[in-house]
This record gives sequence, structure tokens and C-alpha cells, in this order.
Amino acid sequence: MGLSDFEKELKTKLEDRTITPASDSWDKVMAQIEVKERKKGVSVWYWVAAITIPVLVVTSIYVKSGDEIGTDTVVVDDDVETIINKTDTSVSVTKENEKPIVGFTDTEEVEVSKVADTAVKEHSIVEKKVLDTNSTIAGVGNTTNKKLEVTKVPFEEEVNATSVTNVTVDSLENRKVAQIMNKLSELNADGTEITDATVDSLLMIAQRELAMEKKSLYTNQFSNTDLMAMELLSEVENELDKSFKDKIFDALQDGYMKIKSSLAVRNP
Amino acid sequence: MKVVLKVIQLHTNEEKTIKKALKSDRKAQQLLYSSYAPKMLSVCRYYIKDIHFAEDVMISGFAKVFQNLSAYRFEGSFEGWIRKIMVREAVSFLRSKKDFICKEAEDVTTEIITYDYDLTAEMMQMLVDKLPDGYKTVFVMYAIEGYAHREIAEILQISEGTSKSQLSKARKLLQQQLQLISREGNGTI
Repeated sequence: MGLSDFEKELKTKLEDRTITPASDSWDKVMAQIEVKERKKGVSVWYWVAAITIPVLVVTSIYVKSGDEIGTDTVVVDDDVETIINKTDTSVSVTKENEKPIVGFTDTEEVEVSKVADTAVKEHSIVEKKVLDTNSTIAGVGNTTNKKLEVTKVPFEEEVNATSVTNVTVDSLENRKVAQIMNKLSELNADGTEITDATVDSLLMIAQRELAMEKKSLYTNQFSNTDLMAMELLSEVENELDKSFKDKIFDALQDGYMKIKSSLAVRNP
Repeated sequence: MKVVLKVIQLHTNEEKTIKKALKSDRKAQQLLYSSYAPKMLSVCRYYIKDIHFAEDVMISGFAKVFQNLSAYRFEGSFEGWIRKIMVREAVSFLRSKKDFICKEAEDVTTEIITYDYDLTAEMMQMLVDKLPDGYKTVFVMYAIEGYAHREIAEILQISEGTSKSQLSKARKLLQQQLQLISREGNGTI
């Protein structure tokens, strides 16, 4: 559909036409441009602010938290943990191997003293923490109000005391085993029949006696302030410690079998 | 030869002015505005009957021209680029009005406008102004601006068929008006 003559003439005439706008029309154009440029500028600053403010907030929070993390407390926490671990290791080794260990080795002593020396240079709160930890773990209460320099010696003493106690407890147990064995030998020599009930009753008595002896041992060794704590500890240990009972059973079984076989050989 | 050189010089000067205007040089912008505003107001007037509204549309069109000047790639005429912005601005103005309706496509009949009067540009414009906005827009875009139906459909967001039917109806109405003038005999509207 092409253009008619009318449309061609219309196009020509209207395209040639010009209409002069009002004199203030340029000012209006300027005003619109400036408003939009200002808005654009504001929006640019808005975006800059929208990006910068959260970044600053996050950074400040991070820096603050970083400062908190980077304080002496953390470093000292590590030291405290090291000390705890060392004490725990020494105690647990003693229990597991059932061998008496008297104090740390020389190297360990040096390490402990190093830790102590480092701790002296740290914050005063840190010193308190180390002292508190030592007193709580070892149960020696006289270190809390003393300076850290003093701590080194009591700490070694504590460890030694713990080891000595373990040795004594061990010897007590061995003595009890020997006592029960003797009783069983006597009963066997008398011709009394040894039943499970007999053995159980003997064991019960021995265990009770052992508990009492242990308690008295702790009472003699430690001061009154730590008595309650050590009593509780020994009770828990007694409940948990099954090795004594097992040992008795093993000893009884061996002894009984020996006696039985010797009697059988003697009276064929 | 002299004319060609003059055109080249004008083109070079215009390019320099546009580049200055790109850097928000107000004088350059004003120079460009002064050069094209009368022509563009006439273009806006094709679509909008009220000259004040037409001028408002032209002003906002020029504001867009200067804000988006960086989009002009110096390919094709600068006038053509400004003109497209003006047409879109005028169409946008008409679309914002409630009475801008383009009815769906109907049967398209070929209408050929015949006339034997010598009409001035203003008289012709008044004939076009009497058309409903939908017919007028399609007619002006097709007959004066030279848009294809596909382009008109895209700009007005209508189908090509609707664009064609709108043009057909516009032509029919124009023919009726011309016949009316013919009957009155003196060519006055």
C-alpha cells in the first residue's frame, strides 16, 4: 500500500514546517537535565554509601573480635591446658601401668618451669589462672595466694605426693591379695570346702578394708581443707577401679588351682 | 562542489558540538537544542494536537537526548536519532492518556485518498488532528515518518494487522473529510 498524492504532499509540507518553541523552553530542558544529574549523583553516592557502610561495620567488628582473640588470655589458656594435660598424663600413666612414678622426668620438669617462667611475664590475671588450675588439679590449696615463683616447687611436690600415694595404694592392694590367699590356704588346710560364696564374702571384706585404709591414708597425707575433695575422689576411684577385684579373682584362681593340683599329686 | 564542502564542514562542526555536549558543555547543548528544537516541536505536533503539550513532550525529549548522548555512535544522522527519541516520547505521552485506543485488527481495505485542493501545512495538520489518536499515530508514523508496520507494531505494542487496519481507517476518515471540503467548495475546513 503505497502513499497517495495527498500523503506525499502532507509529508513534504509538514516536514518543511518548523515551530519555534517558547523562549524559556531551553531553561526547562536545563532544569530537567540538572534534576536528573543530581539524582544520578545522589544515586551514585547512595550506592557508594550502601557498599562502604556495611564493609566498615564488618571490618570494625572483625577488628574488635580480632583484638579480643589476640589478648594474652588465649595464649595463657594454651599454657593452662598444657599444664592440665601434663598432670593428667602423669596420673593416668600411673593408673594404667600400675607402676609407681615419682615426679616428672628432668625434661618435663624443665618444660614445666619454662611454662611457669613464661607465665610470670604474662598478665597478672593469667598468673591467677595458672595458680588456680594448679591448686584445683593437684588439690594443694596453699598455692592460690602465693606468687607464681613459689608455684614451681609445690607443683612438683604435688606430683610426687600423688605418685607416692599411688605406690602406697598399690602396696596395700598387694598386701590384701596376699592376706586373702593366706586365708584361703588356711581354709583349704583345715579341709573346709571353698565355695563361690566364701570367696565373694572374703572379697567384700577385703574391699571394704581396703577402702577404709585408703581413706585413712589420704587423711594422713593431705590437709583438712582438701580432705573432702580427696575423699570424694577416692570414692569415685573405688567405684570405677575394677582392677583390684579382677586381680583378686586371678590370684584366687591361680592359687586354688595350685593347691588343688598339689593335693591331687599328694593323694593320688 | 562548494555545497558538498559546506555540508561536510557543517557535519564536522556538528560532530565537534556533540562531543562537547557529551562533556556536559551547556553552550554546546544549547547550540544543538537551538538547531533542532523548531523541527522537533513540529514532529511532536504531528501527534499531539495541543501545542503546549507538544512542547512539554519536546522538552522532556531533549532532556533525554542530552542524558543519553553517549548512546549516539555517530552512525546515521543526528537529526534522525533525535527524531526517533521524539516520536517515542510523543507515543509514550499518547499512551499515557486514557483515550488512546488501538482496536484489534479488522478487515483491511485499500483506501486511496484523492484530492484536488491546494492545502497548506496547517490545514493538512488540522485534518490529521481530527483523527482519533490511535488512527492518527499509525497514519503519521507510516505516512510521514516512514515507519514500516512491523516497527509501528513494535513501538505501539500492537499487532501488525492492527497497525494496517488503523492506517486503513485513518485513510478512510481523511477521505471523508476531504470530500466534505470538496462539497463545501472553497477548501476551508
